[in-house]
Amino acid sequence: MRYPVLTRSRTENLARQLVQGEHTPNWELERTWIGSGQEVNLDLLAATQIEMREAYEVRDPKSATATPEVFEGRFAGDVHRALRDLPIEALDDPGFWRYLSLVDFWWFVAIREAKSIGRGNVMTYVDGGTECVPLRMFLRAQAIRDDEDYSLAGALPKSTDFWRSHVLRVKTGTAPPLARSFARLQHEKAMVSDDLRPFARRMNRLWTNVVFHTWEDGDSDELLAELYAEMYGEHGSADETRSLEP
Amino acid sequence: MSSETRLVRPYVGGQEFQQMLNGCTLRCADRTIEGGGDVSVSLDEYLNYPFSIQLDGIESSLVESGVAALNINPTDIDLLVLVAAPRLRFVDTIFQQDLGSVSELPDHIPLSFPTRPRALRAPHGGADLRVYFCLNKALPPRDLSPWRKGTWLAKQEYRVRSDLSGSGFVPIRMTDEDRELFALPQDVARFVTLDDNDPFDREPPTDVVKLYVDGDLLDRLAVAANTPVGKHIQRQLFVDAATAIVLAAQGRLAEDPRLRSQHIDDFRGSLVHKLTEVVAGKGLDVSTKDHRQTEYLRLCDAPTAFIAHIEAKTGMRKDMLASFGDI
Repeated sequence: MRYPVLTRSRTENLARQLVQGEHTPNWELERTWIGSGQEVNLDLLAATQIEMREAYEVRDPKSATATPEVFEGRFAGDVHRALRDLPIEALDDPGFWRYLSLVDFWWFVAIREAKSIGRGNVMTYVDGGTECVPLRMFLRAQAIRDDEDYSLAGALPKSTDFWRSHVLRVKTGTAPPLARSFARLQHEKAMVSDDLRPFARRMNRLWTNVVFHTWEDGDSDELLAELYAEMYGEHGSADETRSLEP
Repeated sequence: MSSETRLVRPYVGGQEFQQMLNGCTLRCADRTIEGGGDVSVSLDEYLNYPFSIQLDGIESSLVESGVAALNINPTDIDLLVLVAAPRLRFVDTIFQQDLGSVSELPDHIPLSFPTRPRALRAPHGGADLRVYFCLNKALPPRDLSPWRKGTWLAKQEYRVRSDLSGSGFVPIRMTDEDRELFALPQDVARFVTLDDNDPFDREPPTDVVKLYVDGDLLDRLAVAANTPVGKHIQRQLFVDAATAIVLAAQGRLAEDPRLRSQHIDDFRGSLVHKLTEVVAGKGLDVSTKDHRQTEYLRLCDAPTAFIAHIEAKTGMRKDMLASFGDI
């Protein structure tokens, strides 16, 4: 098995070229291969990208469900499905995610992170770290996957901070039943940032004494309902007239 | 000062379980790693050599006295072995068996046969191995007793890293968007945040300390990294990050003063523990453990003095003097 990678320095140069709108690089020349033998199969990912791009191009730009943020959640499951059976050696390699970021996902990275990229910050989103766009889509879907059901990944509107701060960057993201319960609760209660943050903090503190990796969905649903009732009462105090995130 | 390390748990009794796991060792190639902690191996060892958990301390008599003290059944407790990939954020259960029949528990759990855990095939991110005794079901809540499913009674953990695994923190180029997000002035040179992460968390995310540095400064630093002024700034950035951790720890100590009465080694793997290791070392001998605890108490009671100890360890004074050149 062999898989393609981009080094960090090549990625920096290539990302700069792409931002400046220069000609598309010749990836055959830019990439290097790790391993030997048959190439990893990225056909399914390519098909997913075509579908995602077509859906984006025919969207109604005025619709609230047509933002790049919504597309990130909506297609996270497809990205995970396309990559989940690849060798773990490839998925673990930041160079592989740099390759995917520039070769397969650049069109979306450029739209999704246009504001930051316009200010000169591009590497954060293509360097294979936790903010790398394809990797964070993969991790979001992995965190809430329930067999073939990825629907929770796209169930929350305006949820960038929910996923980044309260699932992916904390241990909740490593325990799918807990992450699913949290996403379900957020879908139901729509906690605003000022409510969500203390709730997540209370939840995170429980990790000090509890191994949540042994829990199932029912256990997690019960715990989070109990915690929510304790903090905000049975019916919650979240002001539902406020938007989810700024 | 006492040289005894004691784990403080939010319930009474059951120390026998930790006593049993204190005898747990990780075997890798020809090495035996005792007492938990960080393990660095070569890429070849990481990918190809056998790993195993050796459980020499499990005894029926200790299980019996432990469950009697906690007033729970042995079948309510599991021996659990997890292997986590911190970069790819997944956790695999390698072994799970209740204590109903202690004599049937293995004293040796291979981690590479018949299937090598996924995390031990992921050398960039490393693997975190954890062994627990934990409740396998919810019990009726009782004061000062463990009752929630998954509550651990004992824990031992090892962080295995290869030559490829990253460590430390990487400065992030500060953008106008970041300045706006954190309400920072335009001329700020650097900013450190832990977000809402707990500095006592034994398993912090890999990029928990976010060190933002002004883009112009970062560019100059990149080409002058090995000059005296470049080294001075890099060491200062490290001290800045350490200061942010100390401030976050002070916040947690104010919230929960009981943290001060624990031994810092109870928080092995946490940012606070790592800082005490910077000053006092990583050794597992009694003297080094005591030294870490002394530094932890300094962090609690005299945080600015603790930061001064951190700064001294960086060797910054020498670089500061050298940065003056011939002036």
